[in-house]
Amino acid sequence: MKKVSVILAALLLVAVSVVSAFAAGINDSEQKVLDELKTSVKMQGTDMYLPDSYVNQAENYFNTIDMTAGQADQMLAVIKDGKAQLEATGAKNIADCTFAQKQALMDTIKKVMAPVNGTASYDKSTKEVTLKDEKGEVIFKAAPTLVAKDGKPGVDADGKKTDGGVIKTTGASANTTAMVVVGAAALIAIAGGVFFVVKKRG
Amino acid sequence: MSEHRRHRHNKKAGGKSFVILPIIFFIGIFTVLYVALAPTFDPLASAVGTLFSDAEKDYSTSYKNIFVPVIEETTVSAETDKKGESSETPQKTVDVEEVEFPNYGNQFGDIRIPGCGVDCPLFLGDGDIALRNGAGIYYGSGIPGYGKTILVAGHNNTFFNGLKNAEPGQEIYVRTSYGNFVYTVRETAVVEALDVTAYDLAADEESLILYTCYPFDEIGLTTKRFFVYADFTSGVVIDKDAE
Repeated sequence: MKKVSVILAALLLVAVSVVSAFAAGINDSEQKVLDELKTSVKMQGTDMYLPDSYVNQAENYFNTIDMTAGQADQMLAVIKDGKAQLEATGAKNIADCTFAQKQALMDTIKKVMAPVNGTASYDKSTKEVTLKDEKGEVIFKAAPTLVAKDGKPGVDADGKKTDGGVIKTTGASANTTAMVVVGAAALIAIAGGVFFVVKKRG
Repeated sequence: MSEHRRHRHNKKAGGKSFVILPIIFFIGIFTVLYVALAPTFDPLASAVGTLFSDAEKDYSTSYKNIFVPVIEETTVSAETDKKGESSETPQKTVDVEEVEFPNYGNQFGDIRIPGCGVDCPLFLGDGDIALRNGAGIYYGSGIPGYGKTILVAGHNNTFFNGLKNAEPGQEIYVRTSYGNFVYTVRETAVVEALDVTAYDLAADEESLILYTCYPFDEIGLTTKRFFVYADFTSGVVIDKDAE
């Protein structure tokens, strides 16, 4: 009887452990961070905001974790410092900041990620900032920009118009295009060669 | 033509052949070999690319699939009667804790539009790997059931080519591991790619927006996108307060 009870208890424990529980949506700490991300920064007298899509990316990430109050407080402090830093640049947007200011901002972004053991990097070729969580999963990828709430697109690090990477290139991929061009060139070259030989023999 | 002149002409033509023909055939054979061996070159080119980039890049071609279809009966109507009460069976509610929120790059569902011939896997994230294997939800938008705008991209020459047949009234079926959803096409539109007024990612009402490059059969980069706007019709409700 004792053995049967032990086996039943073990089975019960296994059954309970099989039921998965995931991160429980957005908790109060995470909501505080999201609220802070939605507030404006004064850039040359204009209220500038993070694009909505950037805040959504943060929200999607927070849906996969359970941030503690301590982590949120640390993150909030760095975000507020970052806002002060942005306002002190005197620039209209991130694109107008000096190289040194941009580097300082990047360091701040890295500090924002530190409480959750995340990382931040900037890719010069795509001009995008990528944030990764502690497992190395991408949680944010976009051009660093701010937007006024006037329905106009922002500008990337080079001052070119950008929607922040929302809409992708969904035509034939670059590889396909290259293959078609190269294939057509090969066909023309071979046809030219055949024409030359036939003409010479004729 | 004298013998001497014919000899000079042949010599001249022969000289041309020795120069032009090898060049033409070299270009032809080189390009054919390039096309044949391009898949081998790509990883090498990527490796060289990393030397000029300070960012950590992901060249993997695999992805994580967390999609386990839910049986059809779990999708119930979201319509309510005039008294505000459910007109059919009570809506199926899922506790937020039971939802495995996908990570970027995960396949977590599929999308089907019977009227358009669209039927493909659905990913969170619209990176290269996702769009090579199906349709991808922009990570800066919502996912089904969370009451936000869901922005989905797909290639016009593969999975979303069928969008050219989209018409108002058609139903879009989205299945995920935590429930099934139905959306109804409201309208279609051709919009400039950089037109940020084409979507509202801050909306607090659930809707589905699908898009692909336009024109449909054009190869290469296009500045326009074809949008399909669809309204939420039915699906499970995520209980975000459940803790």
